[in-house]
Amino acid sequence: MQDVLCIIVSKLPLKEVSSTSVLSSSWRYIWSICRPKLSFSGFCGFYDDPHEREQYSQKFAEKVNAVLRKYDGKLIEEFDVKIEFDAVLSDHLNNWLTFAMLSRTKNLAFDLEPATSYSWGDCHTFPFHLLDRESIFRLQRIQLSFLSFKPPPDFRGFPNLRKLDLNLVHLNREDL
Amino acid sequence: MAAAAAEATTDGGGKMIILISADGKRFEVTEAVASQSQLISNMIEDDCTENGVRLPNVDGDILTMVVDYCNMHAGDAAAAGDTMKASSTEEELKKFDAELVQALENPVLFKLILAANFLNIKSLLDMTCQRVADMMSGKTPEQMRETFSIENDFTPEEEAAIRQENAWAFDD
Repeated sequence: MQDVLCIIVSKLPLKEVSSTSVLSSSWRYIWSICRPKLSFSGFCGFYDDPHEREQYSQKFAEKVNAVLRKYDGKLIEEFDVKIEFDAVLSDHLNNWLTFAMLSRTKNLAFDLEPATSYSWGDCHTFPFHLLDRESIFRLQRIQLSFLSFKPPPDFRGFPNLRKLDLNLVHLNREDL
Repeated sequence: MAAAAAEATTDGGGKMIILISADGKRFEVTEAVASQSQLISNMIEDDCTENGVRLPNVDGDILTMVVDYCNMHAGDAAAAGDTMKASSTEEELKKFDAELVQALENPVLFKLILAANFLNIKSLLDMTCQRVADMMSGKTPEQMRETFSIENDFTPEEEAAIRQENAWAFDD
């Protein structure tokens, strides 16, 4: 029965996932034992003013961090972030990648969007140095958008990768 | 529906096996159809389907749906080589699946989920659980309890404490 509840919970949006804990005692801890898909998306298209956008991004990051604290030390199936990129997110993105790797994520998406006026100099560099051998081995799907993707020279690829989705990604032909 | 006695073998599916529901209804299906259940597939491999497969926790009306589903989906693998055929059946399958889950009253849906779980038919389990998840989405805990007749066995104090703990997701 628990297996079934787990499957159902893993298909729910995050808000409803947390609602399930309050339903009854048999639902109480289901969220914490099943490998969820954590998916966060923000939209700051409303903000032309860079300062307002920065504030929005900061708030978005705090929300994500609050959720991740709940999932600290738990296994995660998938970790997705979709938001317009702001420099204030850089450190957070790296922390989230570390979190995703510690949670043994198999599917990772950093779906960033450039702000309306952008240059490649603004984009975030995918933090290869945060991946250890095991996490490189574990990743099955990677989706990246508006990132600079520069594998270190000794990088040997992701052996179990089934899907690599790159959009607006800055890289060298040789690195492919 | 309970299949009429058929020849022991057919062209595509190979040998026939008999599934017996909790209330004694018998369903004759090809091994190919039945193998969509991982449980039965393992039994076939272990050669223990000779005298029929008893499924003591699946009622006849639920097993009817399961067998219909498996019959419908048995073509998946067989038609894979034939692109034209595969594409037309794919659409039919989608329609069949959508109609199957949407028509069900909750208690029947839950029985079907448990049967899919027991028989280990991944695609059916996925589809039926997705239906429940869709029905839960956008609902408050109170509405979820009402929709699925979940009895709240927390004291008001306990419930308040859990809500407090999970405040991260209750604010908007």
